[in-house]
Amino acid sequence: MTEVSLWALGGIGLVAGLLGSALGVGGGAFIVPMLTLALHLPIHIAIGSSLVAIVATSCTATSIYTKNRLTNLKLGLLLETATTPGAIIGGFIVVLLASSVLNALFGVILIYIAYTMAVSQPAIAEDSRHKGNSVKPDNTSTNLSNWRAGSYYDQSLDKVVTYKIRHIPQGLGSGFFTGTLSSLLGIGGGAVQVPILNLVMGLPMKATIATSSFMMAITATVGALIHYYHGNVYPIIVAPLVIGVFLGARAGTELAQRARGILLKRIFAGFLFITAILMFLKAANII
Amino acid sequence: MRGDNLKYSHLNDWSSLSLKIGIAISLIFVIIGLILIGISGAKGVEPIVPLSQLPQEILALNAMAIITTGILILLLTPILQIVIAIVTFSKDRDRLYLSISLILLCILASSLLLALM
Repeated sequence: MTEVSLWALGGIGLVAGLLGSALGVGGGAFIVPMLTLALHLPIHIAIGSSLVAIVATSCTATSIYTKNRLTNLKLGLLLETATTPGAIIGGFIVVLLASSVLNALFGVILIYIAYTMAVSQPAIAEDSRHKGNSVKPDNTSTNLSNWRAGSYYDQSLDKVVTYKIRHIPQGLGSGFFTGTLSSLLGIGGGAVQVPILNLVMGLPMKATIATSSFMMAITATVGALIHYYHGNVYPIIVAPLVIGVFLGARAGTELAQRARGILLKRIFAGFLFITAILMFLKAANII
Repeated sequence: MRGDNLKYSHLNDWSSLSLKIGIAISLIFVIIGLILIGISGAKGVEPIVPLSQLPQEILALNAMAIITTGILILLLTPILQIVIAIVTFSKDRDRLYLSISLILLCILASSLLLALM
């Protein structure tokens, strides 16, 4: 491992952290292809490394969201009872699959993420449709009193947003699938979890991203531990990734506030589409 | 409702604080490890140092051992969140969420034990 490779790993982590916090999804979707395509690491090691990096970004983001009372902790804990077993199963399936199969599967998931990013709408348009009032809350959380409902103070709307949670069984089912994907491919699962929480279960987008981030931290921890057991976690690879991801996540929050989110998503969607093609080519041993 | 909210606001605060502390300690170990690599020069890709060897390797300023410790602390941080939830729900006698949190802790603990085997 050369000094150049360490700087390259840090740079990959930096961009992943930046994209992850600015766009709400994409850390693992960037890290795994970059580690395999640019640095030619075996995909199993790339997946293990990515999961540790996702724990770092998710914990950083969750520490802010929980402080701001955006996270529905009870709902997150409930859904994790299905997500974590999925993560364990994914973590054991991954070692049974050849690298070419994983590369191809990753290409498929990148196409899906690219599509969701390309068609996504601004979050504020959805949140403003939820009920709310302009009474500013005191320093209390309303998210834990009843997991079938939640509320939070939205600074941009200057009101308390309340919501009801629907379709818990569907949430649990998708959680299991998300957990399996997470350990299998080294992604956080936000691309699957966010639409489910928002469109199916009824959480406003900010509560969705906050709750998804909380869940990702736990899911990725299980996946990372299983990959640790398999010997897919190397300190020399993970260390610069984690530093880069942490710095990128901090910068990403600034970027999210200043840049047009939709433009960023379209650009990243294009990048993911190209990367998916490259992963398919790698799966076919063409590159 | 208001009283219930005040009770659970501590879970959010403790959760946030535990995450920040866990990340900070983890990063300190990782940065120290990278500095040691910078001083001694980067070597080949070496695997995780086994748990049984960690204490003596840390004292010997083995960069990989120090980074491994940082990684383990990072992975323990979300587990600590579950422990905080268990304490909060048991104090409040919320049996449903105490059970849910205990189930999650068992899953995470078994994953951790497997990793450290």
